[in-house]
Amino acid sequence: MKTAIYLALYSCFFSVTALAQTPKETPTFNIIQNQPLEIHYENIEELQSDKLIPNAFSIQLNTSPKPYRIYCQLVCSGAPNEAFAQLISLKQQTNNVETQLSTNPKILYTQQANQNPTIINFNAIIRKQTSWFPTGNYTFSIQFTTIEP
Amino acid sequence: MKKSILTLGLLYSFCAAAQQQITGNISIPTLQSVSVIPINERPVDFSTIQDYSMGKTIPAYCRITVKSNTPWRLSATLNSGGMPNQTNAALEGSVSIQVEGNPNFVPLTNQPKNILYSTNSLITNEYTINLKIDPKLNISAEALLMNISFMISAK
Repeated sequence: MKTAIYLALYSCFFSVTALAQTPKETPTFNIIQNQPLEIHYENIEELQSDKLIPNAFSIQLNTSPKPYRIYCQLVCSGAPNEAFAQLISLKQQTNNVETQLSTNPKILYTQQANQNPTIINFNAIIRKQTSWFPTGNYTFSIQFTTIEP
Repeated sequence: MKKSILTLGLLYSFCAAAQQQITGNISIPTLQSVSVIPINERPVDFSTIQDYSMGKTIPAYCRITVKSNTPWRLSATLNSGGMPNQTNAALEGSVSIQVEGNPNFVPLTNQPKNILYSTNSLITNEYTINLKIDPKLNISAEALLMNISFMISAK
């Protein structure tokens, strides 16, 4: 009886893994950091105007038979995360579409099905401040994720 | 063991994803500035005995803009013209300033006196300053120069 159950489980296992591996492929992309994302404020007036890092990074997108999305998310330790995330936004150079970062994943770009490989360049913008933000030295990372369509 | 293999197989089939990241750094030190714009700066004449005994008030003498990204305090110091940390003794206690909206005039000396504190978390705040000179017959007939210095510091 036990052997029959194990055999049934094995057959399920192989069929599930086989299904998972056959036609689906995770769309691949590559991030190229063109500029260091290093911001240091020298005076209070700098805090009160946007800081632009032109051509901060590029995304190389590969062709996929199905559309897929690139998500971005800010990860930072030692800062009030969501408030810190709202300081930074990413803007596509070609069409000025802007994405405000968040500590939750947000859609940065959608690659259409069968589209030729593309490179999208992004500017990073550190938004001006009008109210106090905790002083300090903050190291952060921007994570880019894509999931199978 | 067999159950473990099955679980891993299922996890593999549902978690296929690609992830990359870039890193950066933002440094925000304590930053402050104070600027003064004269509005009603002019010589103050004491031409009558009433001027001496009652004193003279110059409303909206200047406007102060305070900028800070942390809690702050603002102090003021009275100096003789062009002579830091020196004050004509006759002016000591005769010159006072009032932040518009505050009820009291603060008498100035050649030592810093706190006149304002941050009361909100805005980076920029502006204040209008009224000036009062009240010599009470202690100043002889002469022309006196004075400077008022404003200094911002973290609270």
